[in-house]
Amino acid sequence: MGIERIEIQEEKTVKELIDELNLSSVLILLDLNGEVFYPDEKHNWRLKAGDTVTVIRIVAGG
Amino acid sequence: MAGNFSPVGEKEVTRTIVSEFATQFAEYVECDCIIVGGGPSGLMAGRNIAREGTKVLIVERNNYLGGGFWIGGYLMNKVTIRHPGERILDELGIPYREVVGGLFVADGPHACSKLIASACDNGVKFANMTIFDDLVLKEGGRVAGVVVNWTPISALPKEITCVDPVALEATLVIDATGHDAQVVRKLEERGLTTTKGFGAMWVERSEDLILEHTGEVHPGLIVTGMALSTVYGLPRMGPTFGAMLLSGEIAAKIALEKLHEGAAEALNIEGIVQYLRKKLKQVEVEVRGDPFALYLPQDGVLDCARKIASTKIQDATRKASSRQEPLYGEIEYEKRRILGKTRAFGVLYDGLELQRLFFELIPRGERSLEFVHILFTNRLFATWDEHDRRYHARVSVYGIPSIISTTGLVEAPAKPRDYYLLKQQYEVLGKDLLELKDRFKGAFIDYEDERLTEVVKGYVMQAVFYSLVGDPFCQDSGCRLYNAHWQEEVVFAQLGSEYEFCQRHRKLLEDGEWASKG
Repeated sequence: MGIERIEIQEEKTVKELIDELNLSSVLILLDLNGEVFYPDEKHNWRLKAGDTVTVIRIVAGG
Repeated sequence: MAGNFSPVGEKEVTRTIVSEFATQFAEYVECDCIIVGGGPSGLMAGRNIAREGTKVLIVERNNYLGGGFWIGGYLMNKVTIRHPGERILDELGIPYREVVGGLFVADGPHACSKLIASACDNGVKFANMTIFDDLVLKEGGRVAGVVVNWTPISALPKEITCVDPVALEATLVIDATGHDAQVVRKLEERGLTTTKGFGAMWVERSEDLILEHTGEVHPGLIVTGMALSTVYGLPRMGPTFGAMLLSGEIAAKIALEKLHEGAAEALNIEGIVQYLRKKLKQVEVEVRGDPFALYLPQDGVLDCARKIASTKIQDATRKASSRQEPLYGEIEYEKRRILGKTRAFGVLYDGLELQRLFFELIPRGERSLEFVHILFTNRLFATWDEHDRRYHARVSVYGIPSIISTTGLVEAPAKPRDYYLLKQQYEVLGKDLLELKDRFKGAFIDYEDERLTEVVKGYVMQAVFYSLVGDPFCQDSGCRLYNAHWQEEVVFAQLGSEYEFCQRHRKLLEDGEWASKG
């Protein structure tokens, strides 16, 4: 629900990944190799095949 | 002919007066503290509160400030002060001399002008020629501001003027209106308190009694100076001013305590830490303290304040797609919040944007799922809901870091339906909302609720589970991880259930799969 691990199959940019996962309107953080960032900071960052990206979805409660 | 003065014309002069006044007035429609009455106790209180970087406005009905402090009595301008009031004269640098043992005398104009100057020097702002008209009362009858008008308006017949007043919001209001006790009297008119009227003069007793009685008379309303005689039926004040100054000093102390008592500070953090250590054996738990003080460099305060101010939600029914540049006053307000000099009351922030700002405060090396950062705040935040297209107040936002709002715990989960129905009736009938709260005592979490720490432990565990298994919530309404939207659900899940965690989450805790995480 909040945190999901994804293995990248083929090279793509962060933006392409976000669009592919239909997450453009959702506030998320990404963890790539231990570095956590907001996707809009690194839209053009190229993800390599075999990279594991953790999608951290911000969740509100109450 | 060239003169000695700058070549500035009438229009520039007028424009300056108008724009400067309007800018300041707009900034001070929202204050930490509004003091009604600019006499010695009000000035003294204002000076000491503002000295701490707090936003203070004194509303004075006359054009001049200082009240009766210019003149000792009977139009004679020598003011008397009994010991220990001379301490304040020393503090303000006012010359005086001792007449007989313990009785001091000073020149009224010198004493009064020094006090006014000191209030100004410390940052107090003034709305003079402004008359107190009414109170702003919010939830539970809490005093949350004042309604004011120009003094001349009140002096003219209604058929000539017919000018509506305006309202100014404040976290605290201080009644320093002297024997008139105008602010308290207005509460009395509304059936929210009673006053006794001041008694006959008795100098030897009155000053001590004034100091003893200085304090909060109603949520959000502090009384200082001669107004206390009227409220409590104390001997009226004579022409001695020591108690006025010292009462102002006491009122300021009380006000500052109230302004600084963030709800998060009411949490027993050590109790929460012990609870976490018990639940998460082998996990290192550390209390860091104020993230602004720890991680925000001095030269980053202004920029951070601007960013926080821009997350303020102006209209809960309109999604802010692009933030407007905040007003100067809003930035200054957030600056004081960051510096721990005031607290936000009644301000609603975008929870997701606020969370992102807090993310930026976390040291880069700790921006990872290996750390569970939990931040307590008394800021109230909300998130946008596309379904009904409006913002909803929230208790928590889980991410890096997770934020838990103690104000959100009070304001976000809905109170019992009957409470809202009765509240409408109470408001129509002008009845005391505190009495209504008493009827529902225990049914919801309130401000300064002694159960707050216990309840927050459950939300802390939600943050922990979020970071560790990706989901902060549980469907079981008796589990502390239940995402409660009603106060009854909060009270049940956190305090009333027979078990702390459902079987599944209890097992996850017992297995301690996160032993390797920090």
